Amino acid sequence: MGKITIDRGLARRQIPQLNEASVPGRRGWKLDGASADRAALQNAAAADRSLFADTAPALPELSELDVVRHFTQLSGLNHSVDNGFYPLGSCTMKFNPRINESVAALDEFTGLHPLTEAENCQGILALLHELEEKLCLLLGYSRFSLQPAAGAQGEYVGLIVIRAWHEDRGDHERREILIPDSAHGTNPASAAAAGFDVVVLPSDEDGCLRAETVRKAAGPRTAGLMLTNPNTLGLFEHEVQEIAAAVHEAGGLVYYDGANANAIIGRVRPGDMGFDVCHLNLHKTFSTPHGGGGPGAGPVGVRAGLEDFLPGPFVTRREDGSYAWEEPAKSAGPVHAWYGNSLVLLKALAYIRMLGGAGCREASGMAVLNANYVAHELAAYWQLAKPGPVMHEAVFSGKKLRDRTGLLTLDVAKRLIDYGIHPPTVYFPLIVPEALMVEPTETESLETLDHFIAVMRQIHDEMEENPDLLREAPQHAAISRPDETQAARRPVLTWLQQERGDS
Amino acid sequence: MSGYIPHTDDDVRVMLERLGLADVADLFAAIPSELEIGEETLEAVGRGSDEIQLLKHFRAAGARNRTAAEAASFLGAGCYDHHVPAAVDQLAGRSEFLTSYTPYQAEVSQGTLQAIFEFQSQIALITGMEIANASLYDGASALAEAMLLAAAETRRQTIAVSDNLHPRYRAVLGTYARVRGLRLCTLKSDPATRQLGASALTQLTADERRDLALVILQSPNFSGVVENGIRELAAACHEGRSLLAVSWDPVASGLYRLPGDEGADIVTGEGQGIGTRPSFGGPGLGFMAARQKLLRRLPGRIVGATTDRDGRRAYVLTIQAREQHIRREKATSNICTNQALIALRSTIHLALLGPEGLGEVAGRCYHLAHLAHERLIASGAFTAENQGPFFKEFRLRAHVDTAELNRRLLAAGIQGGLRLGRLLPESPDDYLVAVTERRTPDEIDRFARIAAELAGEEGA
Amino acid sequence: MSQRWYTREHEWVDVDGEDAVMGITDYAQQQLGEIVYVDLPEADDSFAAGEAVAALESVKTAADVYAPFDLTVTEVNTELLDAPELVNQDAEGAWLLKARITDPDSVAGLLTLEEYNALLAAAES
Repeated sequence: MGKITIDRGLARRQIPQLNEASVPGRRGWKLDGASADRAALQNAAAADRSLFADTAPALPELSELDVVRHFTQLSGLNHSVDNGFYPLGSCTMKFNPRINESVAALDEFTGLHPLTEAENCQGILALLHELEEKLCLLLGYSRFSLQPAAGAQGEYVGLIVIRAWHEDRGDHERREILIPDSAHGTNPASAAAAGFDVVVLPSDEDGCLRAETVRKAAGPRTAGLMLTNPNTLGLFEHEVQEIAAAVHEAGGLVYYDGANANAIIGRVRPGDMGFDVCHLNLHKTFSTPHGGGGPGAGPVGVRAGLEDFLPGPFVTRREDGSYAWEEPAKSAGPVHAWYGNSLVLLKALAYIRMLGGAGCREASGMAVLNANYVAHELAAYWQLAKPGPVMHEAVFSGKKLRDRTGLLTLDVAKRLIDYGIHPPTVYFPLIVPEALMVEPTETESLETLDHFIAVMRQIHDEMEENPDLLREAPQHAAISRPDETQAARRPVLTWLQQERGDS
Repeated sequence: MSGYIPHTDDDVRVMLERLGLADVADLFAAIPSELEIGEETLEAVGRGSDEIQLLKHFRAAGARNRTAAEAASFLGAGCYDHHVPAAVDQLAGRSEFLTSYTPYQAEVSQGTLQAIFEFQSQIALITGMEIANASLYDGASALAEAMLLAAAETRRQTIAVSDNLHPRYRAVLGTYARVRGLRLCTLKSDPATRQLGASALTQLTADERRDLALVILQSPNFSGVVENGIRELAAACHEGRSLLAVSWDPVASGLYRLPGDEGADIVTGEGQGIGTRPSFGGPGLGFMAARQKLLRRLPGRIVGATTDRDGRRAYVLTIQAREQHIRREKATSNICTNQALIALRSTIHLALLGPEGLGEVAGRCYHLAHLAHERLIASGAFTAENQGPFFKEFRLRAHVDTAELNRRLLAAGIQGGLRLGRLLPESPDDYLVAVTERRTPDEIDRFARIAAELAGEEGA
Repeated sequence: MSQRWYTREHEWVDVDGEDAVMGITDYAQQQLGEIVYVDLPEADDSFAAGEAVAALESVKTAADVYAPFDLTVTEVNTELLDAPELVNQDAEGAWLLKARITDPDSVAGLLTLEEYNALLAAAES
């Protein structure tokens, strides 16, 4: 096979900041007839005038073309799913279908005020109800709250629901949440935010949690256990039913972190595995765009008996076929001013409707096939964290390569940038040294995977033959490696701090 | 294959052969067979669709909504029908922003990182604060994060909240406070002006003041009134080593003195009004700005400027040691992603408006709101509920059946104000009217005429 | 005359009667990498043995510093707030805080330099 040439990376490039491009007096947008407003302000009552500012905030002054060029040029400094492979493990960077964007952008949804009387927004209420029904079917739950605005907020909600359930039963001693050591950092952070103490459980040699470990740790102080399945090593927790039973026996509830649900959707349901509460990341599993870090959506599902503790309101269907808001009786409380990220919810519904149940099943099948293919083809070059088949992502360890070449997984990640590929997740999970976590997703073709595999093998060669290529990577990016120490020691967070030369 | 899967049958065969497997199902051997999902469940989810059917389904649903797109909206209460410049949609819709993720890899994310840095800069400017984070979920949860921040900073448990805070915000504070064992107490405003005033802390007991972590007020508040005396209130808070947080409408920054300049320690708010349509309440945009000394306690992502190896300017996610992926259970907050794309919308929006544009929007809102206030009172259907100075929204006492009024308005292409009893059951006769720069004197006249007609019929 | 002791949590502590001075060891400094921020308590704050009294942050990680015994903080090294790199440059010299030992009975399990070095050697092997 021929050598892969670098032709997709970016050139070094800097774009002046808005404040640097500002010219006093320049306008990018105006309102016709502003003089009448000024007259009204001059005639304002004294009580009003005493509150007015003397000058407007010193925002930059730019023409519309300045602004359009600025942001168009900035966009060119980003890698995105739409311009290249993005195998960022644990983030499920699948293709974001454009029809989803089209339907969510309809004026009838974007123009809709959240306090519109229910009789005047039956359309969106019906769609939200439909999404909830489909999520209940796919995940095996009785109800979903669509309110949480992100996965982390979903975790928080799931945990305060667990807390409220225990307290409703008069059980106030359950202060502990069990979490395996392979978990996402968000799990313990959410548990702490929800007022729980975190008990970390060790995974076994094979990377999975043992029911025996759970049985020993669970007791009268156990409020619940958080688990993602497949776990962050990409392995199916095969003792999941026994684990759930052990927690239930001790009086606790079991929480499903849906971060990795893309591996199992349409195949097995967390509700059937014994999980009482679950959150999903619609921006992962159900293809809503990540937007450079949000908005996402993190709906929370619960089994029968826990519905009353969810945040309200949610949409109910009345006997006459109309839809209405309903407040749950014993709600743990709302976490959002309105109903969550409604437009994101519509995009997820569009995706599920497009695929249907069988399509969801095919999607998880191809996601897992893709991950296994990459794992298989790279296993001779990078050590798999755990041998054997994986689910939707493959975790490799760069430890042996580091020990031999002195090059870090970080160097490999940065070198991938030169080839126009977004680096996989690195240094996570924490229990794998020099971890490299690849999640191709089902929307990537065999040709893309083969290209990635060839690039990785070529980088493997470069580690031996020309290590400086890795140490100096990326060469083909807007910047070379940034000085993160300086950024954290002497934080410069705004234009003003920059101009003042804060240090 | 259906959906968005590129695999041909040949591809699947080739890949399975490489893996030494016969069937895709073999990849799922670890799943106990009794757990496998039933076919009838998958069928119940639906059988798949195409773009034509999908559009029809959503269009049909959309047709059953009555929106500001077709009716002139006077509905506000924290979500406003402000104009969004055309360039915002088109620029924020670019693939490179839409389909990237949290900028962990700075070298391939400078676009998002620089935009967030500019967002932080703008938010600091329009709140009068020193620093800002990269955004939070919405105005309500941003305020809840401010509460948690203050409790951690002061190591105190009491939070005093203005009675004119948005009731849904108050409910969200209640959720987070209950979980953390914080004590919420209420500060009463002057019923005549609906302002909290400079001496509000005298309402607290000595015990409450000793344990006071934070005072929270909203401005303009839920009654639409702009708070005064913030400077004195901030000084009183600081004297007792407590903090002051203001939940602020960023559009008001075009006209009013900024809460940061008045001495607030934390300014949060909902950024929907600067760049995003009502969207049935979400996605919106929570923002948080603060004093420099609170930097290490800020929740969520923060972007900083630094240099790369060659000394060129570069932007990175910074001060990450506070965050969940490093600190796990000791993190300042569990927030990971936030509302980056909505923050980008606001960045573009404010870049287009500039100081003049923001001032014009605020001036038009003020002008039209005062015109509407005058006309609606003159209609005979309403009296003023308070005498406080308001910005773009005001609270009236209704003397007509407002349910009937709103029905008639909608029939005439106007979405009426909020019947406050829906959110404040103790105020069934109060009516909240919001007026943005998108409204016209003509729409206001029609609104007032219909109100006058009803008042005449009901003999109000 | 004070004597320098070490802890299993990789802190050093100079004890002189009921007065103590604390910092982190060179080994701890190396493990953390470039320190970007030092979170210090305030004078008069009291801590029980085992509680976190301070935290050090590097770019990629953070670590708590634990009270080796019951103590009340008397002074903190504010120089570190602006120059956290001093801990990297001279860990055994860059003190974090001075304290008064509030319960002499809580002083237990401190290591001598030899014992601490043996601990490190065991961890490395």
